[in-house]
Amino acid sequence: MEIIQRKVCLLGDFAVGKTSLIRRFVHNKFTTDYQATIGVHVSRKEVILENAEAKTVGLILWDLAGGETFSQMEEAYYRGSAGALLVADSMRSETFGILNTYATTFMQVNPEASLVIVFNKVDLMPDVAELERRAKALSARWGAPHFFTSALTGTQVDSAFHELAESVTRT
Amino acid sequence: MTHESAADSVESKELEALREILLTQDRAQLQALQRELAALRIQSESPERLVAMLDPLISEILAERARSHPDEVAEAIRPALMVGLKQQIEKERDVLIGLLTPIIGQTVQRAIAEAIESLARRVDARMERMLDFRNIWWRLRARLSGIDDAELVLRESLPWHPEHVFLIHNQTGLVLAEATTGDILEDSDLIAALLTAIRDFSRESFKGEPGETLHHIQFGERQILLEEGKGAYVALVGEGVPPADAYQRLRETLVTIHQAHGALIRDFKGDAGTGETLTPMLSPLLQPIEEPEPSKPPVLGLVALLLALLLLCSTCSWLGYSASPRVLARLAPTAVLYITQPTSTVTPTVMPSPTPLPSPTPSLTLTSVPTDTPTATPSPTATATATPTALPSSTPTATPTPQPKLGIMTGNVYVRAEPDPTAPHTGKVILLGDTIRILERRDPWIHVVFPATGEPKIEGWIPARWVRVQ
Ligand SMILES: Nc1nc2c(ncn2[C@@H]2O[C@H](COP(=O)(O)OP(=O)(O)OP(=O)(O)O)[C@@H](O)[C@H]2O)c(=O)[nH]1
Ligand SMILES: [Mg+2]
Repeated sequence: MEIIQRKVCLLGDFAVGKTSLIRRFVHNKFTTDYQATIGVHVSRKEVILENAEAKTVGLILWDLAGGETFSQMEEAYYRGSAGALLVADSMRSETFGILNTYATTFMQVNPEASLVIVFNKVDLMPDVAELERRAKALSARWGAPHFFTSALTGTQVDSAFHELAESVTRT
Repeated sequence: MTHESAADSVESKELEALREILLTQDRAQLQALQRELAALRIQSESPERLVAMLDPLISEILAERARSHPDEVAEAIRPALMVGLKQQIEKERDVLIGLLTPIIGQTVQRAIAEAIESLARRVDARMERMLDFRNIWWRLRARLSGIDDAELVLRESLPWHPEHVFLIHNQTGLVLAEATTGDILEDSDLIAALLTAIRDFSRESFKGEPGETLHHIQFGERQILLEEGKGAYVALVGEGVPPADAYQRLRETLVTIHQAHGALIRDFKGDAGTGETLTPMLSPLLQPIEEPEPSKPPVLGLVALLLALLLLCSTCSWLGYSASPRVLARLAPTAVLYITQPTSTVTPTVMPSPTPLPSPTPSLTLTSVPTDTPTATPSPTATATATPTALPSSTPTATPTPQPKLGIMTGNVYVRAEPDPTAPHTGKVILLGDTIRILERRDPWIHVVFPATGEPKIEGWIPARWVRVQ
């Protein structure tokens, strides 16, 4: 089976759960203590795509520190990415809007890239109606699908990464 | 009733007498046993006495147990042993050091002796080979570059063990190809991504000159040499001391790869299949460095070298230019370069320079070297160089290259406005692997334009050693 590699970035404000989503997806683990990512952390996970020509995608996941000022450093890290997972915290609405800034910078560096939007920590019972409304607006703006995930319970985590894997092999 | 009781009493006396006869011995034994039991009870209730009793047996029991169940015994005493040892070390550090020093000293001494012995063997082997006539030329060249034999041999003898080599895509940080002397690393993608992140981080943090990049990472004995090309960079991981020409080899490999597969690298997104094409080009970097095959001493070259030296001396003495033998020696190999690579040299014409400011510079002597090339028809330059008029210029003599030539960059190099290392650079960099058009050569500089075809975007001077002439 053909194995292809794709670099993808996880972007979003600090403490939204980027590292936790990767930990759940790659190692099927979760921890409650928060250790902010410094710089960048890289992981790898293979995803088997069950489409017409079965393919294995090796996702090289670049987990970037959230909440930093946008500098050339981030742009350097974005370079060469086939896609990004934009992550917001369902309980902190201020983390939704900032995804626009992340997406804009990211798409400037990688105009061909695909985006998938994730609203994490749904286990904490957010206001679903409001969340749906904001999610739809963001999805429409970026032409990107969205998922309501929980790194704690694992809800929708695999689906979000699979969607990203599918879309980065299409580009 | 009285009669009965009298009878009973007689009977009991008889019985007692009988018991006396039958049980005396048993009673004595019973009493002895009771005494012993009482003594034992006293012993068992007093630890001191118990210890005194078991003491002679403990070592025997332990020895037996250690023989029959060594692991269990080790497990049982380990915690206590560790704590005890730690405490003892803390308490009596000096005593322990005193005890260990001779042992450690000996071990270290032995290791150093072995290392030196092995180095000596390698040096000997090299010396033997150096005495071989074919190596004399190579040695001579090293000498002329100011390196003495001892340095040369020592440097050549230091081991370098390349282990892995990666070709990593500049943009994505993904592995294009890899080769190894051992097992293929499972995490090579992660390593490549992290190396790329480190490279980007250092570039962005230190904001160096354009084209400046991370070249070297070291951890312990392990070294990672990095060399960057236009579309990809190589990371060579090895142990020991990398040879002097390691980066040169990396650059050459990169140039060859970019020349042959530039499009493949440019269009790479992470799809499979690049490894098969590119790995064979990387593998030679893992081969142990051969001693540079001593180029056959070109007889012609040697003669020319002697002539060049003679000319050099005469020129210098004519000009009253005093050069130390070391300076002369350093200049001479440059002259050899002229002779052995006639295609890349200027035509042996001494042209009056547009700037008539006579002052001797080393490059003056070089312009005379081509006259050493033995040609069938004696060239007028031979005489021209011998006369003072042949040496009028303080600047390198500009001689136009007959036809435009192409070259490939073997490094990322600043373009300067003038053929002078102190001249301000234009702020532009031509990158490794780029093809340039050569306009003119004033050794050791060449005047280039980039790109080689179409609208020129960069024009200026770069050191010739960074260009592989096509
Ligand atoms: N309840 C709940 N908590 C979560 C979830 N995901 C992450 N967390 C918690 O949120 C905190 C931050 O998570 P991280 O994954 O470190 O966040 P991050 O986005 O990587 O943060 P930075 O590295 O600073 O950018 C941690 O305490 C996590 O345990 C989730 O789905 N549900
Ligand atoms: Mg993190």
